Parts: sequence; C-alpha cells; structure tokens
Amino acid sequence: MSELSLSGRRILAHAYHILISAKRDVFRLFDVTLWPLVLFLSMTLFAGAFTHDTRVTGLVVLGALGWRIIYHFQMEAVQLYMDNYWMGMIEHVMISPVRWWEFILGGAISAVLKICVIGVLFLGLGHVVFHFTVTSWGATLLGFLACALCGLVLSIFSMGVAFLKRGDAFAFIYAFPDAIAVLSGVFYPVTVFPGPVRLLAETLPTTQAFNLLKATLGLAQPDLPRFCVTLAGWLALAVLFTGWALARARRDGKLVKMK
Amino acid sequence: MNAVVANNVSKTFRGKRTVAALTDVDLVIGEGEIHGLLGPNGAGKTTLITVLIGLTTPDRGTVQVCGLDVATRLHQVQRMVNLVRGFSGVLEKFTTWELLSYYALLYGVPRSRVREVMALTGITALRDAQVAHFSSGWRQRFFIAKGMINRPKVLFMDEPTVGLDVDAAMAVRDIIRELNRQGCTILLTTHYMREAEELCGRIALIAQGRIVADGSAAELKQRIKSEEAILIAGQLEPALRERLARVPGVLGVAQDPRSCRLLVRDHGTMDPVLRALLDGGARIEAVRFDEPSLEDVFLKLTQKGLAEDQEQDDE
Repeated sequence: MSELSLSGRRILAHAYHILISAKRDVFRLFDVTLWPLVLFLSMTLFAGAFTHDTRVTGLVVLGALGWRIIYHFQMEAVQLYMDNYWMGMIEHVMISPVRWWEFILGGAISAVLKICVIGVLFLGLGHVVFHFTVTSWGATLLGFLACALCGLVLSIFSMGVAFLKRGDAFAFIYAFPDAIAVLSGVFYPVTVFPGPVRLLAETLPTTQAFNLLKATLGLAQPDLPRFCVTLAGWLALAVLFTGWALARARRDGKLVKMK
Repeated sequence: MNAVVANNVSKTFRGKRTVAALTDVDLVIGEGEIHGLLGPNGAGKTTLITVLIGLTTPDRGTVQVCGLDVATRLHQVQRMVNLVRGFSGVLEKFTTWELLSYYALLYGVPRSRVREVMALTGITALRDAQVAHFSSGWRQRFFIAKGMINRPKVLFMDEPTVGLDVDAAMAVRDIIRELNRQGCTILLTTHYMREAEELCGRIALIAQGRIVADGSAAELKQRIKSEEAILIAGQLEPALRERLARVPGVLGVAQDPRSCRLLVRDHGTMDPVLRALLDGGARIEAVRFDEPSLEDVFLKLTQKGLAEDQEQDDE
C-alpha cells in the first residue's frame, strides 16, 4: 500500500473516530443542533426586532454560519486529540505512524459533514422565518470556503497548544475561535475597533473571510488577494509553531499520559 | 539481528522538580526474545519504553529498533512496533469493534485483521460491547488485541498484568507466550519478579533510572550464589527493619505485604538476626532460610526491595 493511501486511511480513521463520538455523545450532538440554534435564533431575533432590512438579517445568518464553520474546522481535530489524552489513550494513537496534519484533515472531513447539517438549519430557518435568500451561491460558497480554511489554520495552532499544554489547553482551544471571530468583525465592520485593535484585526485572514461573506450582501469590499496573503502568512506561522511544539512535547515526554 | 538496541540513553525531565529518569542506559534485546525489565515504581521503566518507541526524545544516546534509528526514521519504526499498557484508560462509548477498527485504519491494515486479533485474544463475543464497561482482565485482552493489530515485530508491554486477578493474569501470560511463539519480540516491564522469571529469557533490573544488571534469571541469581535469604513471616515495623539492616552480615532488607526478606552473607547471620528480632519486640510467626531469588539480586544491587515503592504507592 502506498504512503499516500496509508495516509488517507489515517485521515479517515480520525473522521470515523470523531463521528462515532458525535453519534454516541449527547453533548457532541448538541454541537450541531442546540448550541448553533441558540446562537442563530438569539442573533437573528435580536436583529429582526430592530430592523426589517434583509441585509442585516442576512449578515447575521451568514456571519453565524461562517463563525460555526471556523469553530468546527478548528475544533474537530483538537477535540479528538484531547479526548484521547483525557481517556489515557493518547500514547496508543501517538505511537502509530500518525502525522499531526492527518488529525487536521480527519477533523476537516467531520467538520464538512457537521457544517452540512448546520448549514441546512441556518439557511432553511433564515429563509422560512426571516425571508433571507442567498443572492449569489458562488460568492457565498467562496466565503464559506475561506472561513473553513481559516478554521484549519486555527486548528493547526490549537494542535500545537494541545501538544504543549495537554489538559490545560482546552480552555484556550474553546475560546480561541470565538475570540478570533469577534475580533474579525463577524457581524460588523472592523472599523468599529480603536486604531491598534483594528490594525490587528486587519492582519487576520478571518476578517477577510467575513468580508467575502458581507460582500455578497453589499456590506463590504471583497479582497481576495489580501485574504490569500494573510492566510498564507498565518499558515506558515501555524505550521512552524506546531512542528516546534510537537518536537518540544516529545522532548518533555508530553505525548504520554503517565500513571 | 537485535530487535532493540539502546546505547548510553539518558533522560532528565526539567520542570518544577528536576528528575533524572534515565542515566546511561544500555539495553540489547535479541530478535524473538521476551526481555523483562524489572524494577519498582518510579525506577524508569515506562520512561525507557517511551524513549524506545520514540514518544520521548532522549537527552543523550541512541536507540535502534529493527536496525532503524528511532531519531531519524521514527515513521518506519512506528509501523513495526506497538504498545500494551497495564493501566491505560479507555475511550467511553466505543465498542470493541469500533476502537479496533480505528486502530486498524491508523495502521493501514484490513478489517479482517480486527476479526483475527479478537479471535486470538478471545474477545470476539464482546464485539459490540463498550470497552469502558469491561472488567480489568477483559480490558487487558482488548489492549493486547490492539497491540497485535499491525503484526508488530516488537511489542512493548508496560506492566500488562498490573491489577489483574490471578486467573486474568494467567490468561494474559498465556497470550504473551503465544505472541512470542508467533515470532514477536517482547519487552515486558513488571515489578512482579515471578512473572519476569516465568516469561522472560533475559531480564534487566532497573533502579533509579539505571540498568543495574542484565541476564537470564539463572545468571542473575549466580551473582549472589554465596549468599542466603532469610524469610520472616508478617509485616515488620520500619524501625525494626532499620535495626535488622544494621546487623552485621545483613546485606539488604525488603518488606512485601506478606513477609520480610533479608539477604544475608551466610547461615551464621541467623543468630544475630533472631536476637535483633526479639530485642525489637517482634512477634515472630515463622523464620526460615530461603533460596536466593531475583528479589534478592535486586536487593543486593540496589539496597532496596522491589515491592517497597509499590507499598508506598498503595499507602
């Protein structure tokens, strides 16, 4: 069997693992049902109470979905690693020929499936309850793809943090995508921030990804080259950091949960 | 060819407390061997295993597994080894079939191998049961099945019978023998000396991160051929054990839950030992000479019993 095919199997292994957890664990099932609905309904109802401008409702629908995309693409792989760590099985995974980026891609498969469920929920409810309709599917899907790529980059960073901090990493990992989404102007332009914060926000690929979504409603100027440049920069940093973190964790004996 | 060669391996963990976990460890495990690694808790057994399988990088020294350098060819090494641990946790909500299928995918082996390893370890009937609900004996069978999934050339078994009842431990030992018969090289860590003697062709004794002796059980015992052991039934107070340790001719004292062993120079040491026991106010149930055992070898080389740290842990 070729190395590519073996790697493909390991990626599928991770997706299989995550999806079984989601199927069996009510808490994980809520991740694609209850929690996103709470976010979606609270934000859309809030916006709908103050304005009948469909662009504002649309901004909330697309922003909330983009946020969930970032969250799931960031969270799935790290959650898998942490589950194995907490249950005392991490060494059994880490002595296999697994590579860190295979966790990330396995997580991405699971994220795609979960996002399909959430997407149907959000866009369906948005259409039925708030009369929101996607104006340009091509541009909107491009925006969602941009959010997914940002989620993957954040996942790489988070994986590095999990290698280094193990059980203590979880608070950071949970807060990270939400903090980034807020900083990236998920439902508003980043011009609302004071100067230095705004400068920081503009270096985030997530800001550009949300702008791609807002642009489909005529609420921002899309800047694809800027998105690509910031994403590439973050990707390079993330890969370097996680490679270093894995070597450091190996040096410090952190890939094993000792008795 | 040797299955595992460790040369001059040292590892110190630096943190709030600096711990020299391994110091200048040399270890050679021949192909097809069951090699024991015997030592008390905290001696460095698990750290050594994690270094040998590449989960922990040594500060110094080299490790080769199946002729491949672990530092530079880890990915290839990982395909040829596997691990069984005696105190692993297990993911909740997963069935035997699902967890073994996950590992089969990780190693790129077909699902038919999952059926094979379940049959070999006798867990086929538990295919759809959740592993987290297994008793410790059945759980250990599951981990051995998982350890066999990639047909490893070298299997690292870290205290595979710890916490098991007599029947379950015996069943696990039978599986270990069968695996070895099938050509698998095994490194087995344990602090049960009888288990090491029963299963292992060669045994390395490890204490405070150093290999203090390595050889067959007979070779190791040969090292204390001229000495004797005195077995005193029951538990002795620490103060009395210290008193015994100071008796001329006593080379070491080790207490386990049922008896206290004294390694002594010769038969003539019995009289002063008895006097010390009586002076110390001990209630003596039985005292007798015993054949020197691996425990005594360990005692002589380290001045510490194998069970002592275990006893402290239990407390």
